[in-house]
Amino acid sequence: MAPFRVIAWFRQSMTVASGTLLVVSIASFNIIWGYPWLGVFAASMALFGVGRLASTLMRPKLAYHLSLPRSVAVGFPLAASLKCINRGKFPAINFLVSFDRRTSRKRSRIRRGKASMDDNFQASDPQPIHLLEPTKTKRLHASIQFNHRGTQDLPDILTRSFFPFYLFQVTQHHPLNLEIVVTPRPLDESNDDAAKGFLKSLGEWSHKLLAGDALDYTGSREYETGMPVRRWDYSSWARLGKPIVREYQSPSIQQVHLIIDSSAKESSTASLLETSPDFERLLSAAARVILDLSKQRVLLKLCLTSDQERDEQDGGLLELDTESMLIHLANASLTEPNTANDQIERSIEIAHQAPTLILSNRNLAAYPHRLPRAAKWIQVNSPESGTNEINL
Amino acid sequence: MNDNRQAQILGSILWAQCIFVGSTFRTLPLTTGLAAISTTVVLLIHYLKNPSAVRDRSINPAVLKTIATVGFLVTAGLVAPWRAANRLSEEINYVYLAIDTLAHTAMIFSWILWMIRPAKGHASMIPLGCIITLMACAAGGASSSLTAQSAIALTICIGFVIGSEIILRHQHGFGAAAPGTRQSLPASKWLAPIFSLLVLSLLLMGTSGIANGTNMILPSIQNILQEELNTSFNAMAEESFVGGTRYVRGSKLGSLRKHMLGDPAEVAVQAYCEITPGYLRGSVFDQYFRGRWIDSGSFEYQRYTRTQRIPDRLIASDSAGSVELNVTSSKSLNRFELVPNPPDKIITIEVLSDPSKGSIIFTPLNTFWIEARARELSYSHHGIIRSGIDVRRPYVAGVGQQLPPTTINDKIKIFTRLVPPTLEEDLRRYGKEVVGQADSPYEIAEALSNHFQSEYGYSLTTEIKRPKREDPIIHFLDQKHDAHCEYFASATVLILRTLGIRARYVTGYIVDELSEDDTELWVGRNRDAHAWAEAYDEERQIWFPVESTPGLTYRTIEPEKADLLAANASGFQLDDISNGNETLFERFISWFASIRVSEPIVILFRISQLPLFVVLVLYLWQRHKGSVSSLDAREELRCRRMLRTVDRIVSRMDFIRDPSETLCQFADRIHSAACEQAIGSSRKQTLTHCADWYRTYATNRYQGQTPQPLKI
Repeated sequence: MAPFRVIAWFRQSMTVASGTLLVVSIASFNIIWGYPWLGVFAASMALFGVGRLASTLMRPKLAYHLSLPRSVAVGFPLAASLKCINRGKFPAINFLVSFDRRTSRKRSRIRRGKASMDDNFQASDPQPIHLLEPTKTKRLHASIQFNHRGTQDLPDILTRSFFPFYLFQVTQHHPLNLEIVVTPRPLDESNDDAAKGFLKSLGEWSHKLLAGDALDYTGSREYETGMPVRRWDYSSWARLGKPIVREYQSPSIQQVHLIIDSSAKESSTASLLETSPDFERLLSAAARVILDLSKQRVLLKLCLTSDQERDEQDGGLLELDTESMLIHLANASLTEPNTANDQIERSIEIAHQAPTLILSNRNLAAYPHRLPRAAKWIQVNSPESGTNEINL
Repeated sequence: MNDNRQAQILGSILWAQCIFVGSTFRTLPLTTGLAAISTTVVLLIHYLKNPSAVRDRSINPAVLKTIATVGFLVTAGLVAPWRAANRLSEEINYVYLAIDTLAHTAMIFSWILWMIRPAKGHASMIPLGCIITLMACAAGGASSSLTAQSAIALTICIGFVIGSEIILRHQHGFGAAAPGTRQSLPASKWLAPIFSLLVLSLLLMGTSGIANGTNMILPSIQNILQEELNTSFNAMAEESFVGGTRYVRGSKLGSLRKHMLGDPAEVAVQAYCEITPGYLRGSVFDQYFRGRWIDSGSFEYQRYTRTQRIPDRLIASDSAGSVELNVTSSKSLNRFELVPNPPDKIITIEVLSDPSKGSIIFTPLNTFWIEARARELSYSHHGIIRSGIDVRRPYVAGVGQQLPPTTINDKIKIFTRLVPPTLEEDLRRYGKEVVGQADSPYEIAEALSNHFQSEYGYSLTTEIKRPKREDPIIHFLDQKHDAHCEYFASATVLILRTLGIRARYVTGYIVDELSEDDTELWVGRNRDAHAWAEAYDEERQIWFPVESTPGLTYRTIEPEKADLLAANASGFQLDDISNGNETLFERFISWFASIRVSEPIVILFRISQLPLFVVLVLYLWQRHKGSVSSLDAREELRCRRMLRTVDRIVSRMDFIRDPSETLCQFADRIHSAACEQAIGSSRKQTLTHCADWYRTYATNRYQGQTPQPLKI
């Protein structure tokens, strides 16, 4: 198969110019029959041969360094700062730098159907560089947007050099050997009506929980610019001549337990090794909850029923920073309903009377145990399946 | 390079192509008019709309592709009738018409594309430019000489790279980002153009080299191939593929007529000679079969009859050529003696062939020696030089007064008497009626010649209709219809054979037209192609010519006549000498006028490209030296050298540093390997040392200190 590989390699390196030169070289080879194309033949052969040699000798010898965050959400562009260093003796002239589309497809970690494999990520357009002197560095800003959750290998960096005169393109792959965690995309109101419904019920629950009845008056203080105002203390204001605000504190709600039921929906036919839109939606909703509650400075404990590294003493409840929780969500997979039920039960036991939010794709009826009053079960349905069902 | 400049350069390239096509196909007023209109349109639309810059219209690439395909076809549809109408008055050569149409279509369509995208151009303009050049060259836009072809090659090379640079940089997305990037590197903004120039210089040298090399080896390749494929190739060439650009061969009855009518005025062969060269022989045939002549010494014969051809005689050069050529040639010629003991009285004829038309060598029948650029000649038994001569150089034939004596071998004896059995009886009867009591070969030949000359009429245009199964010669003799030389020569040869005289069929040119520019240059055109017969005198062992075509008399070079003419012309020479008193300015003007366009281009590149290359290399070397001479750069180089040395040491122990691995990671790896693996103590020690060195090196580099080399 070696000849075919050579042909394929050669074909890959050709541009419109070299294609034309090849055809003209073949046509002008008719000089052996006496056609007056000696000049055309010489020019096309020289351009083809010397051009190929020059493009090989002058191909850029580059090294790349990439600085990245730990994670990025699905569908959000990841702004990567790419440092390109010319390690060669010659200047690198007229080359394009981009992420290689094909490598990422081959190395995607999470198994998906064929349709999703074809569209794993979108990268920014190739960055043209006209000149990079030897030993010099150039910083590029590239962005890449992943379409699927999980731990993803970053694609290779692809360098395509067109020197000299765009006769050939010399393609080089620079493997980055880097991974990035792609977290679920937080559910957004703009997604659909079901999402709106879910976010509304979540808002009500959290409002009731965090800003509701059980707030205690802790005192009054003088208003300062930027201070959140819950209630003005008009009598004190009048008395002192300065704006005074009353301050309240929620005495009990300092911690919320979030349990993600990663078992499949009853009607789902998806195997455990596959993902499904319902499951992805559940994780999106979970990401939304994590972000919203973290914003309100609530201490959050997360339990993911599919988490393999759970600590039995904590009932699988992990106390992590926001990004780490999202990373846990990124690596979530489907579990058996029975395993999930056991895990939920254990976590509820550990949480005891603390407010607990359980996000699931299943109906509450599918859960065989009794829920305590402080626990809330939200069924995050797929957009097709209708509205959210809330049980308290 | 801004958009305005790019539009101007693309426009200039198109103008150059336009002038080339116009001058080749003699449509210069029309093509330049078209170019002027296109240029005006671009100026009006783009400059007046926004005087600051020429801007291209943004069109969807897919739409542009469709427009390009449809547009090209529509243009071809419009151009084809125009070009065909222009050639209605001539004998239409369809291949030439196709070349003409294709060249004009490509040119017009290039202008259209340029009008749409003057600055960026379109990718299809690159192949279109190549088509234009190929077609114009095929139609004879450039001479076949090395100088002209080198000029074409160098011009193509420069035009192609400039066009490619402008058009494809936009296609690959380099157009927009250029200014910002270059502004950020002002000190090195000349580096890329210098490297481009360097590569261009290499490309030009490569082009010159390939042109010269090809020019050197091509004739020998052509000879080998043409010897092998002579027949099939010539059979095709009889149909004349580019305006009858090939030499006449005439192996098939009617092919010579086609050659004459194809492009009658086209010059086929030229010769310098004091007197009229007359009949120059190109091909000789000895076997006839159904309107086709075959040479028993050719590969065609071997292939068709599956019998061994009669091998040619190989003649090596016996001395260097001594004749002073009229056409300057840097290479010396070698002399080959074709017939032993040449007479003292010899007149020379310097033949200029056109290599693009084939490798047939044209000489008179009474040629005794030849001087040519060759090492060894293949000389057929019919006195034809089949191969070996570099036809790009002139060759000189030494012609004597007498016909050269020739001994013929047994096979030739048989072949030159062969007549198809089905024709023999009719031809013999006819011959006997004509020649009557004539006895000697000369008398018989003369009687036959006189008969045809007096009884038959000559016509080149008469349509001959004959029954399919009837042989054309028998039909010709029966009907006594007007015919052209092929019929008269063929009939003469066959009748002579039936009457016991060996004869052969010869084709070539009658060169008797004096060139208007030169008093010694004779021209043979396509219309001068001719076929005649040669008969063998057994007694004197010579072949003599028999001219049977009405209105023609055999003429060849006769040295004694030349002497007479030279004496008469002596007065003329005196007049010529008086013309030598021209001024220096007049000489300069005449020299300047004699220079062709191609020569300055070639001289310019031949002289300038090597110094240019050397200057560029020296500049870059100086620059490189300057950059490494600074203290920091030297330190950097030293450090890298140290690292490379240690890398080499550990690589010998199968540890290769991964590009993505940091020095400390690598040090850890080799250190752990040294601890874990069961290896010798010295090896272990080396690895440990290296690991320590890598860590120290990394620390020193991080702190900006100079590391120490590894000491083991």
